[in-house]
Amino acid sequence: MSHTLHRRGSVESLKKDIVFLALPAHRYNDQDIPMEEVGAKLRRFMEIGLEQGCICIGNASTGNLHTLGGVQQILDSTTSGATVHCVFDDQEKAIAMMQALKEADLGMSVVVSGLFDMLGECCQKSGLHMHTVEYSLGIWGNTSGLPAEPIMEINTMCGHGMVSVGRIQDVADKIKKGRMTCEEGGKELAKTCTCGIFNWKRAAEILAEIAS
Amino acid sequence: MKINQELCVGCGMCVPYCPVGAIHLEDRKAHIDADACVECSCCRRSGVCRKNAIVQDELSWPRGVRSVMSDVFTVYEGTGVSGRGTEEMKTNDVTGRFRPGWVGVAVEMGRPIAACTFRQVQEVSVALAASGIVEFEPCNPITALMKDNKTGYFQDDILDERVYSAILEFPVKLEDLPRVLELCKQAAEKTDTLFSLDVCSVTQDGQNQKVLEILDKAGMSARPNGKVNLGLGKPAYQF
Ligand code: SF4
Ligand code: SF4
Repeated sequence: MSHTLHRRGSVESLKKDIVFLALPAHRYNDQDIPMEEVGAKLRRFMEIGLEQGCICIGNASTGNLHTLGGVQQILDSTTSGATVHCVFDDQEKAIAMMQALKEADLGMSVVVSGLFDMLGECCQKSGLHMHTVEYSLGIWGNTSGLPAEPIMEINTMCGHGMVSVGRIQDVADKIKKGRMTCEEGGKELAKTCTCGIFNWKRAAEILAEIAS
Repeated sequence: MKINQELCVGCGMCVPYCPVGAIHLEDRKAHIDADACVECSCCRRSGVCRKNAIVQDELSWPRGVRSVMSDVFTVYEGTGVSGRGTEEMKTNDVTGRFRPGWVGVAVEMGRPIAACTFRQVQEVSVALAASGIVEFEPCNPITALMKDNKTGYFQDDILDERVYSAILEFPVKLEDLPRVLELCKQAAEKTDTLFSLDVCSVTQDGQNQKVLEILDKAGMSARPNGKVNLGLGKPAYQF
């Protein structure tokens, strides 16, 4: 599953898009550590994210802010192994997150997605290093049916593709007609990204571009 | 997925929610094209239908594979991970799945937006397997659906099942990466759907730089953004 990998957009836009995820290693951590302890560590990971100013959190196994009803519900739903997320829109906050995670030493694997140059700088400043990297080589084959790039930029922020092209067009249309603000549109689209990795703030900026 | 025709009032609210455009309105009622529907549950889970007219019918074999590959919350028992693939590089700091001298490759068929059938996945998997250097990741749900992970052929009864995406995952030796990239390029020319492609590597001894050089030589550039495992997992795998 490479669900935060294939995000698209300009370097300027991607500077505001940094996603952290944490998970236990299947057949290792879930055998060595009691499940409730794993859940507590993952919950702590999201609490650290909130303390460092992330814009949203989510649990890939239980849901997002919308499906579960709020931050507290996401935390409470995290009682065992899962992949959990924190989304940041700012490099300095991402550095603080890395420092805090290093200090917390939760023992769960942590993966961060974003611009490699920026992540290199974050690692350097927080005293962490890149262990393994994953490169996106883009889309291959018959791309003739794909929508315009700004729509793709929004669509790929839900790695499972659950923010449909139709919904993006629908929301952009409502913004154009003045029935919704860009921020409301970004949050509206985030609802169907059940893992909670959709960066609604960046989506709002792209929606503004589409609507103009 | 089905629409209960008695409950549906034809408001059309559900139509844009479908990521593959499988819902349409006809005679003032919503209808789902069963061939196009990948059973992702997005329409129902969104809660958009105020009449509760979107209902999940029983998914028996082989249609059930659509849900395994397309619905975020359907867990494949073999990995215990919800979603379409494995933990790949996400836990490499603990599992050591991708070691120095090796890279992981993922060909995600149908992603983004286009979707694919297993017949389309098979065209690519067979071509990759025929090279003799590719053996598909055994923990991946796609591999479990193959007759033989050395040939890349799938079980016959699932070939026409349509899924939102299907990830072909495999490790290859670093020296075999150029050949695999070439095969991917050839597959891209032949397929009538599309795929997203990625490569993962440890950074030890600058291996990721060597990967970038190989990509460059193959005329394939890596995007400026991607994923980094921070090496915080424990116990740390000793390479
Ligand atoms: S939202 Fe419900 S009532 Fe409206 S068209 Fe869709 S199924 Fe019918
Ligand atoms: S289950 Fe998914 S693919 Fe099928 S109609 Fe609903 S949204 Fe579309």
